[in-house]
Amino acid sequence: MIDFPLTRPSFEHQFGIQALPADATPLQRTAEFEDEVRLKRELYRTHRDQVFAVRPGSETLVEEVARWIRSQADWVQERSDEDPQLVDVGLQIQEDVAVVSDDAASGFPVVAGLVCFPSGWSIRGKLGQSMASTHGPVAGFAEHLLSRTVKLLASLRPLKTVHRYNWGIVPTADLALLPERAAELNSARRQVDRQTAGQRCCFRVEYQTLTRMPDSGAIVFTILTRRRPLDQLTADQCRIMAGVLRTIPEPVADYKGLTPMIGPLREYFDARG
Amino acid sequence: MADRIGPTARPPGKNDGTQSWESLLFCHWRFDAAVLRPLVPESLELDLFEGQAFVGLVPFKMRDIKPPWLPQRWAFNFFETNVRTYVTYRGEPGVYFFSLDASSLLAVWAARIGWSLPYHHATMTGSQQDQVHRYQSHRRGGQGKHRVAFRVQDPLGASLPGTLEYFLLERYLLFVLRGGAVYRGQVHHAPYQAWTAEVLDLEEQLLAAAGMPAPGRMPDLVHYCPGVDVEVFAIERVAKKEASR
Repeated sequence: MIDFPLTRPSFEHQFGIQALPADATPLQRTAEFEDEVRLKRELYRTHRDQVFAVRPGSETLVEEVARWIRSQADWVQERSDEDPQLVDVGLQIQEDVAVVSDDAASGFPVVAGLVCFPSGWSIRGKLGQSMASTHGPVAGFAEHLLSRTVKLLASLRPLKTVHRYNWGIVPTADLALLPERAAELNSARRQVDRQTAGQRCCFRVEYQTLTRMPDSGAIVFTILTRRRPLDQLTADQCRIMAGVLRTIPEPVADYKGLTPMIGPLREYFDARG
Repeated sequence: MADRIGPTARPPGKNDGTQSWESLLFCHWRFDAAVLRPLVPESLELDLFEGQAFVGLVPFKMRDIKPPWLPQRWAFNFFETNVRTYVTYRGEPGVYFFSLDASSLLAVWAARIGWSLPYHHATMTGSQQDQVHRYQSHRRGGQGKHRVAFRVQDPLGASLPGTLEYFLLERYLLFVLRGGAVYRGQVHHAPYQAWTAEVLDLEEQLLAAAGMPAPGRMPDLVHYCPGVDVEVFAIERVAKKEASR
């Protein structure tokens, strides 16, 4: 897992899917593991309806996902009789988890998830939506990535995990960016200036893995979110970011929430790169 | 860095009592930390949100207060208004009370003796007419009136960790000095389901009575919560005698 996935100083619509190396595991334990797992438990306590969702009739499929998670993380135990299985295992790992069914005709709809650290969306809002719908707001997705994504999902082989990265810049170090924070974050974006950008804004990376379950065919997405203040990026990384922000298409900048602060960010990266 | 999540977990074992807190109005003012610092025991750190200290004025109804062994029919009710700020002790965030006014003399005695909290006996009323809620209080034998009228507005739901609302509302520990030693009390309840609220009328002397400069303005933040059922756990000493101001 890397925490800065960009390599070129220009924007690209990245598909970026790669097979997980044989010696790598889909689930991680970073130095922030304990804190983030505790935060997930708190979010489940305060925002259960936002962070957890399961479609009725998906119980068998979710059971298989829970078994797979336990097989990938020896620290995950079966312990709660009260919580749904996905919650039980999902609150013992750092990653968010979303599950889509192997229903290609319906566009691979989302059937379950425990997602505590989203970037402006909630799993409840995505439940039942097809891959095309869930990524509807993603600028350029329909033109550049949808057909490749559908092909990828259809061709995933059981238990052969693939991974990819997604990136963003947010005016907060907080992980749980549920939709209810949208207004506050928009206001924070407008207040970013060149002087404060390095401390106030974080480079945010999602390390996503996709794995098809052998029995149900369901596909499990795991998402590990990491972030660090822009001031912690290296000069090379700032040079790359300066180039990316100079070439990013307007709709993509809008979708990523960069537009209100793109001027100060460009100045910041130009100065540091 | 304060651990804001740890105290939300229910402590193991039996509680020492239960109660319900109802119709809570949370009025908060931003304060310069330097103004509050002399008013808070040295052993407690002021807990700041983005460099800012806060003082809360919280009137509410206490209902069904009883220890576990007391039958429900003996549980009692009263009004309370507390004035507080937020502190940490050894990384644990909690509440430090400047004053608590209650309409029950029994509650005042019990809390002063059992918890060493600065309770005052007050004549208090609460009412609701149409959409307007009112609380009124007059501390007995001293300065300390307050009167507030407010209207509940829009639901916010539970607060998200990391937000100012979470910082202000999701507090499960209190710290108090007793014989110079720091004691910690804990409560447990479901997260507050908060609403925005608008203060229509406010007269308050409680902040000044606690030694603070009167804010001279409406609260900077106002929240309302319909209520929570609370488990109360006995206070325990967390540090030996320490210097206090």
